[in-house]
Order: sequence, then C-alpha cells, then structure tokens
Amino acid sequence: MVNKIRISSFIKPLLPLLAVIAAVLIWYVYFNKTDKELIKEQLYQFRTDVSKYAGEGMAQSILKCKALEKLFDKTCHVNINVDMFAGSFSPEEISSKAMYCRSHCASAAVNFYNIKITIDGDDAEASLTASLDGASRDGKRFNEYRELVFSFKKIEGKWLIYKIDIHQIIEK
Amino acid sequence: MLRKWLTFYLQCWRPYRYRQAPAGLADFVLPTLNAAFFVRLITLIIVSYIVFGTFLIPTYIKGGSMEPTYKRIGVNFCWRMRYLLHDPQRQDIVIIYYADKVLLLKRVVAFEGETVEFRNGDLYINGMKLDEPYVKYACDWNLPPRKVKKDHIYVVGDNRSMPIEQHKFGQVAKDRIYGAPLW
Repeated sequence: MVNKIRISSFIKPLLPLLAVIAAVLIWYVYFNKTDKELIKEQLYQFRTDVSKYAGEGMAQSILKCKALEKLFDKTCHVNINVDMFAGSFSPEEISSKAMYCRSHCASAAVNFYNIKITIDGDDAEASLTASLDGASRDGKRFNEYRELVFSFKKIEGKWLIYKIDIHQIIEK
Repeated sequence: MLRKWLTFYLQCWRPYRYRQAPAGLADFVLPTLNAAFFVRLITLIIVSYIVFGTFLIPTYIKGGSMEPTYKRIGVNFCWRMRYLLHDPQRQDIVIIYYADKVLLLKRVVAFEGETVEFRNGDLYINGMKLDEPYVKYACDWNLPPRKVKKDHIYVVGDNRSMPIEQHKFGQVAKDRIYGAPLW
C-alpha cells in the first residue's frame, strides 16, 4: 500500500510530460513521414489496387481501379514488350486497362520485393522485383516475376508515378 | 564487472567445469541442464543465426537446369562472400537472386560488351566457340547474336536438353549475383 502511494505520487506530476512525449511520438510516426516512406506507401497502394483477391466483386474492382488513378501523373509512360500495355497513358486509361486485366483473372496477387529508392530533388526512382501470382478465368495458374522501375515526380507534396519500366529479370 | 562476466563465459566452454566427467554413454551424450549449457546453447543459436542468415544461406535445389553438375533435387549453401572482392570469372557457377525466396543456379558465360550466340547447340562468345566440357546433353539451340548490356553478365544452365523456350537463361544485372554454391 505504501509502495502504491509512492509510485502514483511520483508518476502524477509526470503525466502531462508523458502525454506530450506520447503526442510527439504519434505525430512523428504517423505524420512526419520521409519521402522514402511516402514513396513506399504509394507503391504499396499500387500493389493493393492492382491485386485481385479471390471473391472480389465488381464494385470493389471499380473502386480499386478508381483509386489507382490517384497514383499517376497526367501522363504516364509504360515501357513493356507487350504492345497493348506499352505507351503513354492518362490515369483514366491506366485504370481502364487495369479493369480489363482484372476481368480476365480470377485472382492476381502482386507482391514487391527488394525495393530500392533513390531520390533526387523532386524526382525519385524505385526499382524492385515484382511477382504476379494468380489464375486466369479458365483456371490456368500463372506465377511470373519481373523487374520494375517506377519513376516518381513530387507534385503538390504527393509523389506521382510518371513512368514505369517493366522488363524480364533474365533476358535471353 | 566485464572481466568477471568474460571469465564466467570462458569457463562455460571448459569441459566438465560445472559437472562431473561422464560416467557412461548416456551421461556423455545427454547434456546437463546447468548455466554453462544454456550459455553455450544461446551462443550457438546467435552464431548460427548470423552465419546461416547472412553469410552461408541454406538453399534447396529444385529443378534440373544445372544437370548433371547439380542433381535435380539437392541441398547446398550459398556462400555470399565469394564475389565480395572480385567479379565472377567465365564458367563460374553463381547463384542469382531472382525474387523473394527464389534463387537461380547458373553458369557465367559472358560479360558486358561481349556478343553471345547459340549455333546448332554450340555457344559462341564474340564469334568464337566456347569449350564447355560440363555440357553433357546434346542440344540444337539457335539464338541470334546479342550484346551483353553494361553491368550485366550472361548466364546459362548446363542442361540444355530441353527446348530453348523452357530454359531460363540470359543476361542479368550484376547486382543480382547473390553468391556461389559452397560445393
């Protein structure tokens, strides 16, 4: 009992200070994000929006594709050796292409590994290894790996994608 | 204080310091659960974690692209320090980081700026046929000449008995070299 009184009387005056420290920590963790963290967040958002999990409905697909638009600059250049997906596209076009791909897949889980980010002023580049694991509507399974390089531009405090390079990890 | 701890730690490694000499086989094989044993156990766990998690990565071989040099299924270790101070040499076997937990075991055949070509199953580097005693199965691969890009190496498996489309080979960025097999 004596000990309890002693501890509480010791902590009580420190409570405001502890509250301030906690508030600063929360602010630091949640709001004071570095550019690298912000870029990583964009990448994770991209990964979530392009992935299609089993049982996902049409409404969710539309919402995800709509959310994808917010990650891109007015024009985004895509370098890939598939004619249909190569070229310069607006966010809306990217969204509709994502919708088209989703309609052909029963499931498609995208994952990113080995992310390396380099920042140069308002420009940044993120290179990573991506895996695409899933199944088509006719039940054919696929498991592909590619090397991706995302180019970002900081516009009004947001890192937006303006270029994506997709190529094989091992090129014949 | 530090000296005291160090003395205690070193004593933990001395045989029979905290127990009697083994009387029989069971006594010899089974550990005595005392402080010295736990110190040794924790040391072993930490050292294993560092060694096998950083320098010597246990790998499981699955696939026959390096047959007959490496069997279709097997176990090996990836020695990550192999190319720390120098680049791989031609015909070295390297382990390539592919993705998450997937590594590729391949042989280096060409370096940046060199031209690689397959003619009727023979490998040509800069127009010269490469002697490959490790290739035991005949193949009929044909691949037009191509130049290895900057900071890339060209890797191929030893087993070329399958169609060219089914074999994963080609140029890969140098920074994807993960290490070399231990044996």
